[in-house]
Amino acid sequence: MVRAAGRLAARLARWVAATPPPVPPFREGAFRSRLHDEAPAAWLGVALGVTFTVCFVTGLVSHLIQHPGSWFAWPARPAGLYRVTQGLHVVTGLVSIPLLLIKLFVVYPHLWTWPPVRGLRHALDRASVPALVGGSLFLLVTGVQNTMYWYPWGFFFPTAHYWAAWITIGALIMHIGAKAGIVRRVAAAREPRPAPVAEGSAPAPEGLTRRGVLGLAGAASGVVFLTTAGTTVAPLQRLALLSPRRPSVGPQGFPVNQPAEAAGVVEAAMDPSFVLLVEGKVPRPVELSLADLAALPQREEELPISCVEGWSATARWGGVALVDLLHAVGASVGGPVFVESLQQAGLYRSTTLNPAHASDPATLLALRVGGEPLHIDHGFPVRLIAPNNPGVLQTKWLARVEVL
Amino acid sequence: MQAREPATKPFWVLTAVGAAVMAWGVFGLVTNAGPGATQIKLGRWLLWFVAALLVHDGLIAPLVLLTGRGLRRVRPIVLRTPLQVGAVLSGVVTLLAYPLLRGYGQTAQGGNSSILPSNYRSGWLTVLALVWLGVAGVAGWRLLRRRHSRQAVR
Repeated sequence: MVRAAGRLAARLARWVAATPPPVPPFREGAFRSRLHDEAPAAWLGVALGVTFTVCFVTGLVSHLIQHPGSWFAWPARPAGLYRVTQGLHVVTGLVSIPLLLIKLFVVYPHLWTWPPVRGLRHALDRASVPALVGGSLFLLVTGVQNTMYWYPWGFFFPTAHYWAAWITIGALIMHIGAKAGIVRRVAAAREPRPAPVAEGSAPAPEGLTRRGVLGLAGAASGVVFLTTAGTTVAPLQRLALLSPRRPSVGPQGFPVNQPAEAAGVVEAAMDPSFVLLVEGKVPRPVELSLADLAALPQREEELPISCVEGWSATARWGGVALVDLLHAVGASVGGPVFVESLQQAGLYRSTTLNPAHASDPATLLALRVGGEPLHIDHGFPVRLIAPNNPGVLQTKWLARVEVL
Repeated sequence: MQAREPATKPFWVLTAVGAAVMAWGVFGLVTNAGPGATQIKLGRWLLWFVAALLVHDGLIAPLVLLTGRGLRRVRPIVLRTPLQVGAVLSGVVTLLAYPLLRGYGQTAQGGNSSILPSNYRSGWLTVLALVWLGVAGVAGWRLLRRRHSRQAVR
């Protein structure tokens, strides 16, 4: 009885395997382009493996800076390091878009493979693909939307993007395990397999070759790079026709993420009786007016402001070095320092500076930028500006400094 | 189309490692799910994940395939490659430019003039014009070369 059932199941499986559904994508010869081939798939896969690894590592760095564990301390030097890692994250993600789309075009027929599963190895191989493709598309779409300040999802971007990245990178590792053999085979083949190219140097007549599609992927990535990278690579700024930010556009010549009005701080920031409270591990709490701050030793520092959305701009900041303030109030230097904004609500209204940042002489309580008092949207009366610090942690409209 | 791959040791190792990393991602997703300001609304997350897959596999890829099929009929055939290149570059640029052209970010963040500060319509059209200028140049050169080689044969 059981045996008979087993035989029946095996016959059924053989019949299913031999009988693709009679709809176009399953039909023999449904995909005729010669670009649906393992050689371009392998090379595009290698390129995407590199770009996704860069995105993952730089994204992880940005996450750890904002949520440091006890084992992670982000240094204050070099001052422009975060500008590089986050610029790489965003730009590499952008240039991955054409690579991914062309790769998916090349391998699209595999989606309609029949039989759908040919054993355990094939099943495991295929199981990782929806996670990989869905995750990659999810990351690129939400990432691009976030750089454009377009939030249509109804979920919190950083958390959603972060965990999607782990799922995607796990699926990518599985995929590399399944496809490494193909890449090795393709890389080992010096000459392209069956070369239907006619004699002479005339280009293949019937459109893009398998090598040509790789050139096209490179060109498309190049176009995306040139039209967007100027958001952080200053010399390319004039070419950044498709960038949601221009590093030189905004009050006092650089962009703003959250204006004072949106943060609800206009009244408190413009209040002439404003004082900055310094407390915590200090001999006694001190309240400093703007005049008191201006009377302390002043320092000028050229520092970048680098946003998680990828844009960055360098400015000349002036104000009181945090270490000078700590000395002035009799606090010791070397521990962490917490700063808090006038802003009453919001996720980025405070920052804890780790010891490296808190004791760096270039970490300023900035009063001026480019020689002028700060524009209110840049954090008037006083904001934090520290070297190698993500923009969201450069707290604006400071109200309180607590020595920890 | 696809040769059968042997299930080698690296395959099993990377499959196991990858599955573990993926499981960590799913664990994080589930433990961070909730209605809070920094939490993930799981239903919305899944919606975007699945929609991305369906829109690509069910809409974008078939459209590209059909366009490609159409371009394979173009004559003279030396124009096919330049047209394929022009179509792909235009598609990518337009995909990227679309949200900027619609000004979605500006709508979400009203009152911040440093968001979407450029004229994206003219930027998008400029890039398209440059792409098609290049395409026209290459196509013209190929047509000329074809005429020359035909004359040489005669």
